[in-house]
Amino acid sequence: MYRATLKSIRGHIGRTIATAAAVIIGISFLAGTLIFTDSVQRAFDNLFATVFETTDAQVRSSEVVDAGFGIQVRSRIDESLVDDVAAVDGVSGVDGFVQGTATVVGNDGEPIGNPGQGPPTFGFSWTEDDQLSQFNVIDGREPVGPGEVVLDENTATTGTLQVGEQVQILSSAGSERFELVGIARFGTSNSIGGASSALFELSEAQRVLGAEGTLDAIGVRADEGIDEADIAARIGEILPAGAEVITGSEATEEAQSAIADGLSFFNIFLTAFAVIAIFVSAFVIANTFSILIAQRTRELALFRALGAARGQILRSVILEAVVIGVVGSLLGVLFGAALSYALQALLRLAGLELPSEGLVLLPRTVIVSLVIGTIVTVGSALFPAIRAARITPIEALREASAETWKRNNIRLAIGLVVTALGGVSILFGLLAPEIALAGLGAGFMFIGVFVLGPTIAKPVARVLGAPIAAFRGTTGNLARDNSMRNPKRTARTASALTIGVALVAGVTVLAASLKSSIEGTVAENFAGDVVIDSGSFGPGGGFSPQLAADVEALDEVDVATSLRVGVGEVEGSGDFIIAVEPVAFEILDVGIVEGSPTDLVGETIMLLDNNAEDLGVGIGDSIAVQFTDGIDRDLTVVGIYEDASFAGNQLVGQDLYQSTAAEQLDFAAYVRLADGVDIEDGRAAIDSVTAAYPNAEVQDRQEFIDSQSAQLDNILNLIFGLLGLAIIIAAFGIANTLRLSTIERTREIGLLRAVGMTRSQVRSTVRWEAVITALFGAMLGVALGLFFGYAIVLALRDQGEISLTIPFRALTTVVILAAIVGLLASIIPSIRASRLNILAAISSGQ
Amino acid sequence: MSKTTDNLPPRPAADDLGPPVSTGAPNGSAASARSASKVYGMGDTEVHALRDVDVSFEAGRFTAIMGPSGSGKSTLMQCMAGLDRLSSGEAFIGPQALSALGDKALTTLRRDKIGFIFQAYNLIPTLTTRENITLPLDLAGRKGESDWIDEVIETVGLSDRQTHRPTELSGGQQQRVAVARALASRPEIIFGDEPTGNLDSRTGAEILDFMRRAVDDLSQTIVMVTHDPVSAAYSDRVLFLADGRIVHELLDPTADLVFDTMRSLGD
Repeated sequence: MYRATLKSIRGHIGRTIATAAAVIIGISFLAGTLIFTDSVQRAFDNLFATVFETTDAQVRSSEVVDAGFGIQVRSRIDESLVDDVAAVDGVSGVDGFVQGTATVVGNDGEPIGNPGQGPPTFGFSWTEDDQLSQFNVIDGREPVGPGEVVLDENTATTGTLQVGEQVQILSSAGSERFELVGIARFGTSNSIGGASSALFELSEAQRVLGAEGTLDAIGVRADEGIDEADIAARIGEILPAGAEVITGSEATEEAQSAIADGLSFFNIFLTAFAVIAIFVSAFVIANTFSILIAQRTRELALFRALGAARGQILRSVILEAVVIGVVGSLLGVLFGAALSYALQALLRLAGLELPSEGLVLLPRTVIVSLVIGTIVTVGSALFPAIRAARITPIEALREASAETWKRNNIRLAIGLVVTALGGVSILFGLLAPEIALAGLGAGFMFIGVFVLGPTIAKPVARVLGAPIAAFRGTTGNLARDNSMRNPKRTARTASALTIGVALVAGVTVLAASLKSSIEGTVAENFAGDVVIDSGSFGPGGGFSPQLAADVEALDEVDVATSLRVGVGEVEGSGDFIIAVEPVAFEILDVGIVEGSPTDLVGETIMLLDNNAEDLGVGIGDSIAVQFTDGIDRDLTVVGIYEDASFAGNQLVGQDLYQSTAAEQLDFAAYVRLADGVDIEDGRAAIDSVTAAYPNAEVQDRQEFIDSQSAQLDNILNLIFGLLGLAIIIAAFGIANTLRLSTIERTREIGLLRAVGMTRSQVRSTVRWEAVITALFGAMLGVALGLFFGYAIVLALRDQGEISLTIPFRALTTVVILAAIVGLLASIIPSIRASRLNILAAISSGQ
Repeated sequence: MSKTTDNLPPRPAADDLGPPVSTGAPNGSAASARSASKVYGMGDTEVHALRDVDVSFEAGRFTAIMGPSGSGKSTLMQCMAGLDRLSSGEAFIGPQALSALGDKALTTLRRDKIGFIFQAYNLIPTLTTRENITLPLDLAGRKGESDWIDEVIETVGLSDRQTHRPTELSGGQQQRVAVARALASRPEIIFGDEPTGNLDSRTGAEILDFMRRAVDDLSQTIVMVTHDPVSAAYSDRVLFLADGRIVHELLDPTADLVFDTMRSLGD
């Protein structure tokens, strides 16, 4: 029996590979994600280990503000600490260090890197102590005075900047030019993981990075023979409150785990798509096995007639699944490695050079892939296997062996119940909000629709096929009949595509709804004429406040005011805090419910209504806020507003924010032109100021509104790209089914060929069947997607104004693309079908 | 009607029609073959299914091809009908030499000029009776004359079964649909491969009657492969094949005569 199984696998190697393809793709994505993150982690681990090799201890502030989203900002310490630390017995060398944001402008006038959308753009002080220095100059020399800068090798290459040239650098100090005196590597790497680094002499760095008189950290080297724990303990004794010391190895570990955290987000994100891919694969595998079992009914019945026990049949089918699962998973790991390599290459092309030390394939990756791949394959084959075991010997003698399907009301009822259950879980899950419940609900809905599929496939295929039958004549008619003859198979084949399309459609609906509400709110709430946007949001991005000041000074401008974002802890929990000038309220409407914006001066704060409610405070109450300087402040609530689109959860005055010593960078400035100035003249005047700031983009009202919603597009494209994977797997499923169906219909095709069907007509028949199947899957997917989108919009409605917008054009495109996927999937099966040897086909027994 | 025997000399005739290669097709025959040979396999496993066969099927006649298993009778029919290609020699449908045609032209020729009745599995299960009958016409994108189709359906007695699917028909009815399909496109020649092989004798006789009437009343040309002397007796002419050669021919056969001939050849 087992030998027969293995023979069957070997005898149908093409079929086996096609089944395995689904496993391979799903697993390769999972393995690729693991290999990629492991490789990057290993490379960074080694990099930091080298970088901190000579650092025995590090002194820094103990105040950290965690704004969530992985953003942590540590306070600075007073620079006078350097001398105190140097005086500690056993310390042989110290070096003060500052860090901030400085964006380098390349020779083409474009800023290199955008912290809003990619790796950070760092500004650092140069560490004079050679042994403590993390950078090594490879060309030129280190920076020693004002007006000098050293860049990392990657940035210099990207900007085609050479030693001796003048380099424009944007920072909170404004837009300035420096002489490029040297090019350096970070450890052995050409950059810090793709981030740009501009290195200045310490006091110049303090000026440029807005850190006068302060330091971010002090690196310490101990005398020979004193170990790092010892020196750290000694330093710890003399440190004032608010400062702390860690050992060099702790610094290494921290840096490593910070990378690990960053990667883990990436990892979770990619893994979510791997899970989707594997879920879809399971459908494809289950379907393929069902068809195979149906086709082999007579063969299996013959085994039964010859004395094979049910258990033997069951085990034989499972064995086949195990073989496919194991082989598929192993190949998946192999492809995963290739995928990971390709991803690194792709990132390199995009200018994000990660330190690379080859691919890291941990045993864990192989084990996880193998276990998941095999379990999914065997699990998917289980029901078909049980069905196979139920085959009675007498079925060997029956004429028709192909799968049959009868309408079954119990099945219909179960399908409806499961679908409804899924729908309800999604709604509850999203409103609770309990994301896991919503995810489970989505899974239930897919399964429910999977159960319902066969019942609706026949009538839907009839309708979908009608125009094809009408326009394509006999071939269209046959294609339609073929898609209707086995509704169970059609529905199952389409189900994989349904999942992919449902997710794409759901995201599309959500995005359209978000966009239209963003456009609506922005248009409603912005009363100005021009926006200057940095394309960045969050600490570490933006342009100098000098820009808004210069624009305001223009004759053509009535009001120019900026928004700045920082982080702080509000009543103990980290969040973004937006800093504004009171004048901003003249052109930005945040929907003030209570209080007066003119009071937003000094130690005051304004809160979003929901936020005030959560905190249980009102006008006149005071709340505890800590900025990155670590000072506890009690701020008086002077206003409550209801629209978060510009203002976020809380607003403070820029005067207060400036006093916190946090980096002062505006992410955007809003302008109202003076009376009588037309937009062209106004823009021209503003352009003359912004010319010095290549990271500032001047937009008129409409451009601004468009760009706000365009920000979603990048994320959307990424998500669509990843969901494309599920659709590729679905395409394999369609190809697989078509292939098996045409094999099943060998005699029929032979007959058609004999009585005069040309090869191209055969291809056309297979092709249109694929299109009908794909359209069926896509329509079902769009229906589900609409529901998902609706559910999410419903859940979001609570948090802001959003209404359901159905993007008809985008959804039509999705359906058309799905039809094209079906078409592509049919290419190989249709060619195979058309090349059948007529005689062999007619006389093929059965 | 010529009364030529099996070894008729192939005479190239200057033909009426035809840009296509037409040399070698005898005048007035619906189908013919010249020096037809078919070899399967190579070297030690070489099997000669047809050896240098010359044959002509006159228009408007009903010919039966008989012979034991492996005699080459099915191969001959398949090569004549454009389902398979000869290893050497030439097969003609009317004046048209088949070797000159590519797959597409050959398919079109089968569709437009040849009707088929196979032993079993003649019908497309998803199509109705009428759709099955008009299939070659539909594939050609031709409308067909619906009067004629109605007449054919009437003749085979399936008027009340037009919208049924094959699974709803008996074996005899299914073969009648096949006969109707073969007639529907008014082909130049109909090939039958054991058309009654799967039927009981009464139903089989019914089908053979239809075929006979198609020849007599409609001047159809039919070539049928069979191993049953009774079936063969419905024909005008019986060709006996053995070992890839035509070894005998009977005109106006009776079942007994066919039976006797078979026995004498078998010994």
